[in-house]
Amino acid sequence: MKVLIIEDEKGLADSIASHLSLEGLVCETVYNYRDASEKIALYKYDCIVVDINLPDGNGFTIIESLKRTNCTSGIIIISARDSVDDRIKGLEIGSDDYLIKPFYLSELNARIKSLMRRRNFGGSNEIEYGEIRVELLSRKVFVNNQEKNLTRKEYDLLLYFLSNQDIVLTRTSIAEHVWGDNIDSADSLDVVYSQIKNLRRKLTEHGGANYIHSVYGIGYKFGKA
Amino acid sequence: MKLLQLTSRIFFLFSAVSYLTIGILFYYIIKRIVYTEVETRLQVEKKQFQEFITENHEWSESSYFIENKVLVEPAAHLQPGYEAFEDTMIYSSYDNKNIPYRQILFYTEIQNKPYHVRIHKSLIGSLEIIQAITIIMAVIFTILLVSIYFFYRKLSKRIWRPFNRTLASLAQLDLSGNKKLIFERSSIYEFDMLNRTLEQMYGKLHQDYSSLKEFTENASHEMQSPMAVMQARIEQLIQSSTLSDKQFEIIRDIHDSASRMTKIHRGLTLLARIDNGQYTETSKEINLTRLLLQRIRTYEELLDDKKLEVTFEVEDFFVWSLSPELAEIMLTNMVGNAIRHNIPEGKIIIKSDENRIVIANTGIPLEGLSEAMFERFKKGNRDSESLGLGLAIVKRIAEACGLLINYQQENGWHIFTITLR
Repeated sequence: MKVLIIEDEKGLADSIASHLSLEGLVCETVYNYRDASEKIALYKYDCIVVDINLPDGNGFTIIESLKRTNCTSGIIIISARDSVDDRIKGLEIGSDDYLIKPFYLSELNARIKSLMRRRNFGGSNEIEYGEIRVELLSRKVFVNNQEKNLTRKEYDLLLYFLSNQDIVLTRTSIAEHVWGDNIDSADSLDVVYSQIKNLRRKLTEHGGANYIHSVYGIGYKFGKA
Repeated sequence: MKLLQLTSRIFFLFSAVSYLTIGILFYYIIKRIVYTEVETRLQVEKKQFQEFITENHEWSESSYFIENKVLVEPAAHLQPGYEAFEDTMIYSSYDNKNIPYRQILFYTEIQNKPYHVRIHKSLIGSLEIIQAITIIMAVIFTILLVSIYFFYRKLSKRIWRPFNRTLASLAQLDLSGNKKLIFERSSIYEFDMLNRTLEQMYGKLHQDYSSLKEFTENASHEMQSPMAVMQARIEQLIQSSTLSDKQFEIIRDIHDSASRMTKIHRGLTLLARIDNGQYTETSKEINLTRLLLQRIRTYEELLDDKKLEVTFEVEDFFVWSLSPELAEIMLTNMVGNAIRHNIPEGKIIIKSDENRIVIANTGIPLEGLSEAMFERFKKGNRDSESLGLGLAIVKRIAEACGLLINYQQENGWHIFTITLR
């Protein structure tokens, strides 16, 4: 999958590219409006991550021109501006999602994956990992073909893990993903711990391997040991 | 008390006092004048009497046809030069009642025998004059006072009108709005000065406020990029498998601090945006009770974890029109607060009726003023994890949306009440 990252802050752009590459996404980065327009004219991308505030232009304009050419790429806006108006405008002109800086790279990752899943008509309505199979349309989870009853939050958590395989996820990013931005850091410590405990239990109770590993002090990693 | 009331009251009191004083004085003065007139006449008649005696060497009642006019009685001894005036009542057979008289008393010698003489003058006419004059003066004075009073009131209202207009304008001031403060020119120097000074002062205030706002917005905006880079790089760093445990610990601290900073920044930005009035356009009717219940359900794992028992007493829904985003933030913060500051196996009670919502939780008693709860960064227990912004945000949202939040501590319960302003 190809992703174009349009972001003028080089450090950030490169971080995003690196991180997404870990997940097997092919990334290209541009740092200004002009280069972005060029790239878009020449190539097709599955997903475009756009910063609104570019030094020589406005991200909104890029999106508008993309939409005019009936482009089917997924569009995610990242912006330092958190005004309600901007968010509404972003969604109105056709972006699929809106993330406010600073955000967790893993969160961006999860959103891109989710967006890609939504756009893939036919095929991959399922995610498989080891003994785990997730049917996205019905939101059912199977381990060794046995259906597991997951709560809504446990399901979201599992998808978050599956979207960020072999990536260390901090507790705070997990907490914010599942409970929303307003959760305070104090709450996140305990609640994430107990959520993960429950999820682990459900996934492993009938012989499924455990893929959720704690990473010392920081968070968790989903993967094969 | 209004200015007009105060001055009217003073005017009234002063009028009443002076009215009475002048009235009484007036009465006595008139009386004195009239009496003096009567007494002068009596003295003339005394002279005439003495001349008569000197000429005729005798006195008889028949000399005067006016009843009781002159009364001559023998006296024990002569007191030459003695003269006195008295009020007296004498029965008159004409009118069948006692009539007031003024009499002059003196001694005289008739045929070498001392006599005590009294000459009378009727006071009726005089008294009537006194009464009439007094009444007329009273009426005139009253009319004068009353009309001055009304005139004064009218004038006052008129004169103070520009001032009242200034007051009204001031009451409508909104520093965050863009309206300039402009007053009409007044022909009265003092009011004009007042207006002009206010305009200037407000202009300066507004300017300062705007630059401060702009500065805050810029600073906050500028912070976001470096914070984003920091957060992203930390996230990348923790992916590395070559880090030692010690290094991980260090990175964890950096990450935690960066997260905290992000949260604080988010909170402060929110407060600034509310102050900016950015959420006023997006009001919708919201069932706050239902939203609150939803929020509680979101945190059910946390509640289970801490073994907190939640009871609901919902009589009716509390519905209000406000921005949905703000409503959610406010209630989430309150729920988070109730959970965070609770004791293990503690309780939370949610009450709701159409006029209010109550969120109460058990917890460690806090010292200090209840009001301090809502200040930024004030934390009750030195719980370093919580930001201390949550309640400040709650309060600010309430203020901006026409709600009132009240906090009380009672028997180990912390009670927050949301009502309409």
